[in-house]
Amino acid sequence: MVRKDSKPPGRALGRAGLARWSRPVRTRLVLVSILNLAGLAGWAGFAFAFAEALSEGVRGETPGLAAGLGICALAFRAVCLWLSDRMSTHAGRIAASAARCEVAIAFQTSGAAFVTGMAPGEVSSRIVDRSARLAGWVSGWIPGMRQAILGPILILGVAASQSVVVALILFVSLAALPVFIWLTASETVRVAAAEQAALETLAGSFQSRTACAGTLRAFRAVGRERDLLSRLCVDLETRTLAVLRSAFLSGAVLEFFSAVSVALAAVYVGFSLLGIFPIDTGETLTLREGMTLLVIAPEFFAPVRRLSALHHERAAAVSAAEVLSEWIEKAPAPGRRLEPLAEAPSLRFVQADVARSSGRTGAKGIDFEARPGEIIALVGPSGSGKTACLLALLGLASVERGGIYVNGRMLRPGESLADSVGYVPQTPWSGGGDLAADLRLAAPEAGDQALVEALQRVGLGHLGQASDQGLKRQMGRSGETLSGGERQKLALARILIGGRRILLLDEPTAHLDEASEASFLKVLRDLAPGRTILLTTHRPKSAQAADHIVRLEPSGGVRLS
Amino acid sequence: MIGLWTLLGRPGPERFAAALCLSTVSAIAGVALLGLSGWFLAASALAGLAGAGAAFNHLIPSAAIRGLAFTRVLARYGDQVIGHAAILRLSAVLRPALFERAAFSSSGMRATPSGELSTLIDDVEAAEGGFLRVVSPAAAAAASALVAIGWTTLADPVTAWTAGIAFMVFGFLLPWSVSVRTRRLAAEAAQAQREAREVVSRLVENALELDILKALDREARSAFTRMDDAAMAASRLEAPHRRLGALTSTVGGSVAAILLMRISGSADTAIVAGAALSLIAAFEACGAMARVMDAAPRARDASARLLARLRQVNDPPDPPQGISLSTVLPISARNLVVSAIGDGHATSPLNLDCEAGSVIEISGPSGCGKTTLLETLARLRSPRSGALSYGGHRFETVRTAAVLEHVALAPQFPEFLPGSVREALCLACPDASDEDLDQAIETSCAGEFLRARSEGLESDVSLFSGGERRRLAIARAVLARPQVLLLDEPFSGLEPDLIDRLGLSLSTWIGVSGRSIVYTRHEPITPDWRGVRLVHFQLV
Repeated sequence: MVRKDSKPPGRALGRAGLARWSRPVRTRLVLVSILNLAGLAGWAGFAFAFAEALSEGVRGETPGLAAGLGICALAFRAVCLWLSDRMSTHAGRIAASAARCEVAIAFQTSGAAFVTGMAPGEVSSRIVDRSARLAGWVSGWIPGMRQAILGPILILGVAASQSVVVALILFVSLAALPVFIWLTASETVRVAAAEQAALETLAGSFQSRTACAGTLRAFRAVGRERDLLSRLCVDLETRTLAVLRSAFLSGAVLEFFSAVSVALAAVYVGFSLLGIFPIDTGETLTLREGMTLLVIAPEFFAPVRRLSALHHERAAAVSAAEVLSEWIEKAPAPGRRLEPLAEAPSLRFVQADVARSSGRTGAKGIDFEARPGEIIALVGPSGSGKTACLLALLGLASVERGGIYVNGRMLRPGESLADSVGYVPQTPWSGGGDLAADLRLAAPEAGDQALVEALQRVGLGHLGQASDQGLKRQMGRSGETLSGGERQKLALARILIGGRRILLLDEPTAHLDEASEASFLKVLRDLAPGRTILLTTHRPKSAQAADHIVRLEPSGGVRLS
Repeated sequence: MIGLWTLLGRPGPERFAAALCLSTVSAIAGVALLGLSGWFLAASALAGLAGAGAAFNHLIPSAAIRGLAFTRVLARYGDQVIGHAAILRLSAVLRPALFERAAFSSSGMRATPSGELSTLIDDVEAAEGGFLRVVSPAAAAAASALVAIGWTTLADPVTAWTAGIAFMVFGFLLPWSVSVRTRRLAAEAAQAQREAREVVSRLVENALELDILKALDREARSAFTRMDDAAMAASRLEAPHRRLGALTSTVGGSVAAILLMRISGSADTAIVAGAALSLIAAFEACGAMARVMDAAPRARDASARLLARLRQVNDPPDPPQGISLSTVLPISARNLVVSAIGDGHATSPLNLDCEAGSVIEISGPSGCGKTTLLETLARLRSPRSGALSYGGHRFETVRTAAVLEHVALAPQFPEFLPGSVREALCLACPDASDEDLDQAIETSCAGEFLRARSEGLESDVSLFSGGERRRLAIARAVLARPQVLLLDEPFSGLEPDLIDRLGLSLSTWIGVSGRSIVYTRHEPITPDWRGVRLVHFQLV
């Protein structure tokens, strides 16, 4: 027997996450269900009124009141459904937002360690796309599921009040309802998976061929590749159709029960009315009762059929919840920030093996010292561990062997020099506000004079001048009103204002042209006295500008001959 | 959409017809099932009241009711399966045709830009989905409406008119106006979504820097607020589609109630009951029109774009009657001017004769048209002006395929299909033997880095660096057994001794009679060509 705790942890975490994120909207979801049921009751009311109106018509009366009440019941139903839709969509948004809130809290507690070592695209897609899918679970699946259970029961009650036999016919189907729910669930998942797989195979081969169409033409391979593509399509047609034929079958079974229960109810009621039903059921039906049954019978299966359209959303939400809650759950502890250093320190790597995370390959046997006032360039191919060396100083990479000494004191695992560090990446941050706001990021209390002085020191004095909007200059959404070189220098100015004594630069010149690179390196050299500077680079000029060059060799990968 | 289908030679007509037919039949059966049931109940009640229950012919209607129930289920199933089958058939013709047109109408060997490619893929999916999302459900809704209106006409023509107008308004006009409004809002929502995504990406990319600056928490919160706003905008788009369904069924019930009020006591109460129920069923079916109206313009626009792609002509145009060339040599250019784009930068006029045993070196600054010149020599582009001939035959009189039989190009930034190195090389010559492959690899000096990999020729071609890919492209070109090898920047970025080795092995390749090389270079490095006639051209 499979015990609950033997389930994969991701799934349990996902379920817990979904429960947690939908907690704030629990009441709202109950209201949604009540509204949905009220809508259904409205339909039952319409059925009563409609049947009454018809039987009045048969008697030769004008069914004014009954018809009017029927229209009112429908209007009531429309209002209920509209409100429930509005409310459930809102609930969905709240739940997605609650999940994102947890991500924000993880950012708050773990800091950058929360995303270090992950591909930025993957993180963004988790935050943006995955969290959005959670909304479907709350707004669609939960109310749909409840309606699929409660709706048929309500209809059954209404049916029983009219005819016990018809209620029995429906009840037999009700007993099979869980099977239907499961059937449609597996059906939808299979159809979706089959279509997805089909599309991916086709799109992949079509895309890659179209992408290099010119090359295929140059080697006279167009006809060959076209035929190959045709063959792939035909293959796919055969395989997909086989899957779809059986996948649609379970949907057809549901349709079958839905259509046949209406037909059976109609035939039974008709025969009773004629007085020719062969078995004595002990009930005499009137046209009004029969007509009521006929109008409400299709609604018996409607919620289950609607549910089948929601299975896809459910699956997407569940997998998103698993990914997100596992991610949040495993958020690492933040590094312990050491007191800011008042003076530039000596940083010494002693035979250190550094890796982004323990167990992964990184740089091995790193041995160098960066003294105050010096610029050290770390060079080596991608993957050789240059960035890991910088991260190690921030407590974001593990030192497997050897050690890192700051002014002769060994940096313990998890300790971070973040409060003494100014960091410059390939593309420095810009908040999208004005120049002053960007500069004050490191030191919110800095006065305008300090900002202008810092700009002058990095050779951006012209930016601080009033003629060019001065410090109120708008930076654009990602700082695009400045050139790449200016943005890098701005990052340096920010560090100056913050008074940081260690400068870590990760490929600061990667996006710069040669002139901007030279100018940036000159500013960097001017800043070196009183600071300890480590920079990683691929560019020869940037490396040559340093006092010492540390070459890292890729330690991973075995070369066979 | 129909234009596209016709241009492709009407693939799978019987499938499309059957799917359309079945979807209509299933819709009609659904409406008729409820209508006939209503009629049967009312008629039975009347007969029962009159004491004529036993005389009433109940067998035919009750059998018809059961028959309609089965018909509905079977037709629905058939519609789904055959509809998908029809789409798969269309796709099997559309995709190869699009690929073929893309190949023959593309100038040069440049890779299709990713933006253009993703638009194309989206268009293909939208156009293919058009049938299942637009044509088939629209036909079903229209058929339901017609059946209900027809039945209602029997009961009361005035209500039938009312119902007809209600179908127009709630099944067509309202969904249409909703879809127009949605499209406008969709642009705004997409913009909000894009911005939120951009803010989040930047946050993630700069997380470390922000953390050090102690600004990560604040920026994360502000980014997440943006996302909540974007989610709000997106949910506003979806809402009308879901809510319209409740509205149409309300209208259906109301029209049915009005019908009952208008014709109380009429002789044909049974017909009226049937009409009223068929109206309810038909309006329920019309709830799907909102999605149809939403998908329709997208499918139409996508089809129109694909149609335009499929109508593109070959570039450069091929003559109707191709001649077969035993040799392309000499390739002679007289006052040849080439340019990458119609009225973009053009080269200065060039007079060039590429003969057997000669190596032609073309140098010039980047962007001056060196690559374009090579592509023009391979007849993958039209020259802007001047004359070009292959073995004495004018450019206009030979087909591209005939030239490519003897000319192979190795681009500076080559493209390979996903797969192994062997597959990548065999593109040039599908039946190449291992010896052919080895020889081509030696000629291009690609052996050294291939041997360093344990999988050798079976290594994934995407694993190699830019310089290595360029040498694989040379091996591929050599494998095509051309008379003329066109090499784009074969030596740039290589170490000096590798340049010499590559020069030497290419000199050996050209040593076989009747061969020639044209190559470009950006940097002033010339390898040590041995025993060849080297001609230099400077392009400006």
